[in-house]
Amino acid sequence: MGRLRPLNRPEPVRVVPGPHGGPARVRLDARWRGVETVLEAWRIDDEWWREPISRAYFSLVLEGGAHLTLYHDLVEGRWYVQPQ
Amino acid sequence: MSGSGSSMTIDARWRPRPDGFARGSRMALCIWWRDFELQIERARAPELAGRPLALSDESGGTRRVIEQACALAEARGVRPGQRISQAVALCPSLVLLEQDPDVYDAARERLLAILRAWSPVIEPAGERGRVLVGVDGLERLYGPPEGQIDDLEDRLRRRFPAAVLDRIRFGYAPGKFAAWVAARAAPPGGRLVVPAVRLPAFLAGQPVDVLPVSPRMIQRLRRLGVDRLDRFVELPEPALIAQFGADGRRALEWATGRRVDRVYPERRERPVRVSLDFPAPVGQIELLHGALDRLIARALRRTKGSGRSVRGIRVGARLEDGGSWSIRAILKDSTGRPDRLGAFLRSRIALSPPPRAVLELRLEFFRFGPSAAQTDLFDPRHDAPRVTGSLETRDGELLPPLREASRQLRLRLGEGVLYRVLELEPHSRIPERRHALLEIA
Repeated sequence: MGRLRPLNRPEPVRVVPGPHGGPARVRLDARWRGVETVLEAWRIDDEWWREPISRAYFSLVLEGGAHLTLYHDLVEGRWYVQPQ
Repeated sequence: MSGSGSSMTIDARWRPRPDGFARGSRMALCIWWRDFELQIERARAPELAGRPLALSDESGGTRRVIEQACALAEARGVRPGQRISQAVALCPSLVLLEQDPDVYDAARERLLAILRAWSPVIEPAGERGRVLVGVDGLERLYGPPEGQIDDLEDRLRRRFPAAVLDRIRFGYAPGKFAAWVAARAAPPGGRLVVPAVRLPAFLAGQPVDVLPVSPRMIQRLRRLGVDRLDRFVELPEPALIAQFGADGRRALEWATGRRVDRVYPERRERPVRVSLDFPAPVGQIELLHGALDRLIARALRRTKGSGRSVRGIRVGARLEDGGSWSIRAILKDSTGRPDRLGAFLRSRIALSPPPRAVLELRLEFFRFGPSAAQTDLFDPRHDAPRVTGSLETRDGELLPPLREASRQLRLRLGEGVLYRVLELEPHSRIPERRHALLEIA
């Protein structure tokens, strides 16, 4: 049996939030990129009986056309990039 | 077949096209024949003029329901999906007709043939009586929009009875959505031309149920008191996205006229058709199943040359005492295996069996998937006791060709380069918990 490696593990990212709480700018590859549009926003609240998971997800189009899925961890207050 | 045809799905996926129509047509003409099937029935039997008509749906087995009702029947409370007994109680003079899909398909083909001769960009849009036509550049042939519609109407008039044509509606506007909304807003037998400059004003006055979104979204908008598009476009975009996701954003783009979906020419694949005549009418379902298996084998032999798998299937029959029956199905995963096709079709026939004995059984493959041929790497002939769908044999070993490929890759690139995706919690809401990579040792 070989080794197991997690897939689609979230990576921390720096984000400047906008007026409605969604991301306005995202720091990627050592430079800030503006958010062109929010395609979709949804929330995941789970496992309140264990270690609660509370995430606000945003599917984004960045300036230049790149697509990105981010979430705001509402428990610890940090932002992550979520590979899909 | 659809009921009132009051909603529409816009196929807005980006599709690369190698042909000369790669850009599609921005201006669209929607031809909408509401209750197409009932109109064809009226043309077949002029004595039905002025009487309330409905088509029955036999697919529920003993629970027969209304499939389609004419405007006269709807005015008396008859609705698609209603039980026949309920419909007759509401409208005692209702004339109930059994569906004859062969006749409707032939009429639709006649309509499409006329349109194909008129414009090179034709895109069927769901129901039989609705077609989108690309009209970019046609002004050089037929003049301004009104002249184009006149010319098309003349051509249709030569092939269809006047009584049927009196129900046809034309909508001419930028993009598929607006053309459909224009056709819907036109009176029966009439037309509506919406130039690009008038598009936002025209859309503003339309009801929200023209939006090609889920009925649930329309229902929620109505509950919020948003019943027209002018009120819908006033809603803030972030709130719409938060409530309805991508549907909300798309709907806003359609409603404001910002989004214009081009009409693309249909991709016509040559269907494979086989049929079997019975010497005597066959009513036993087991005999039909046997005949179907033979037809599947014959049809698959014809697709073998191209190596394609099958995605869309139609089974039809000519029935004793006249009339026809058909079912149409799209497989979730295309296949070239006769046992899978047979099992799938048997389950569909069980849901909607032919109402009478069958004189002739027909099978058509009309949509195809990628090649059904296995690659050597995953060829099951290499290993008889292989677990279905796995890269391993029953004892956990890799298939021999894959084992060899893995060995060569490791030799070239070193360890830790070849992984297999392993399902952990595939339905988890937390994306990183769904799958993991397992190193192939």
